[in-house]
Amino acid sequence: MNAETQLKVQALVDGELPPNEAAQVEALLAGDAGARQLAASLKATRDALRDNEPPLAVPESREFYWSKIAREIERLEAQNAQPVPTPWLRWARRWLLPVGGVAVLAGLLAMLSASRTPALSANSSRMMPGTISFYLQDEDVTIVWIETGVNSGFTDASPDGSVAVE
Amino acid sequence: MSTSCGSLKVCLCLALALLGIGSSVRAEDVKVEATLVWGTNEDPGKFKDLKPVNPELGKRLQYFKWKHYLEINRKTVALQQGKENTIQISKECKLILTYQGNSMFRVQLFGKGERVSDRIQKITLGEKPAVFGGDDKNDTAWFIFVTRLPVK
Repeated sequence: MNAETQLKVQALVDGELPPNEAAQVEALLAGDAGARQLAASLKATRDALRDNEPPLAVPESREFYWSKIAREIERLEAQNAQPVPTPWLRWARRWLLPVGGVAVLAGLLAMLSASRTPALSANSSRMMPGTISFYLQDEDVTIVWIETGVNSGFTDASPDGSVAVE
Repeated sequence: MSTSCGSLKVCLCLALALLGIGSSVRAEDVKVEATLVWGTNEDPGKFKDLKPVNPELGKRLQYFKWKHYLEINRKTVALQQGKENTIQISKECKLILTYQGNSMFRVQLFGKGERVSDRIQKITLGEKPAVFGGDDKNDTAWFIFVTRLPVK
């Protein structure tokens, strides 16, 4: 007996089958001992539940019972409801907060872009007089030559060629 | 009301996220090394205190007329993005380095208190240094290499 047949037997016991299908299942029960046993077991269970379930009586009437539930729901809804904002507060929430948020974002983006954008373009040089730059292709390097004159003090070279090191 | 509160939350979240991004960008630190080199045709044996320049830097000077390139001074400095850092490379000369992000550096050179160069240059890790040079006394020359070092 497959699961579908078992469900049909259960539906028959519960009285849920239309007459033509109920007749088919009853015919099946007549020829199938396993199906008959299942039907008997289900009927016994149903009867045991029906006959032995203790009655539960609500102490109040049905209407009063449901009105208590309705009042509790209303009380909780009133508790969770927020006070109605004043017109000014409503206006501020509607306009000032989004506009303020956008202004903050714009400011942050401006700060970020300013910090990333160099003041001058790549490999640019503020035109210092006497400064030339040349590119060494083989070495892939640019050398900036500064015509500072021999008294620039970069090496602190003395006239006799010796170098004063710090 | 719930819509405006929702938009406020979205704005705050975006602002916080951008603040996070911004702080992480600004937190980028780099390390550079400035090397002062002297080019001369004189016998390097006369200058016992000076050692020959690093071959990696020296090969970039092979096109110049000087026979010997000696290292005078070398200083390493950690740079924070957007902050100026001064390197006193010799008694009267200094560099002011500013890291601008994306491997871009502003390099300002000062000799005897006068700014002689102000340049924005890309300096990548282990590749291209910034090289500056000029004539010096007795037909010699000075060079400054600004090289990027890995941050440990």
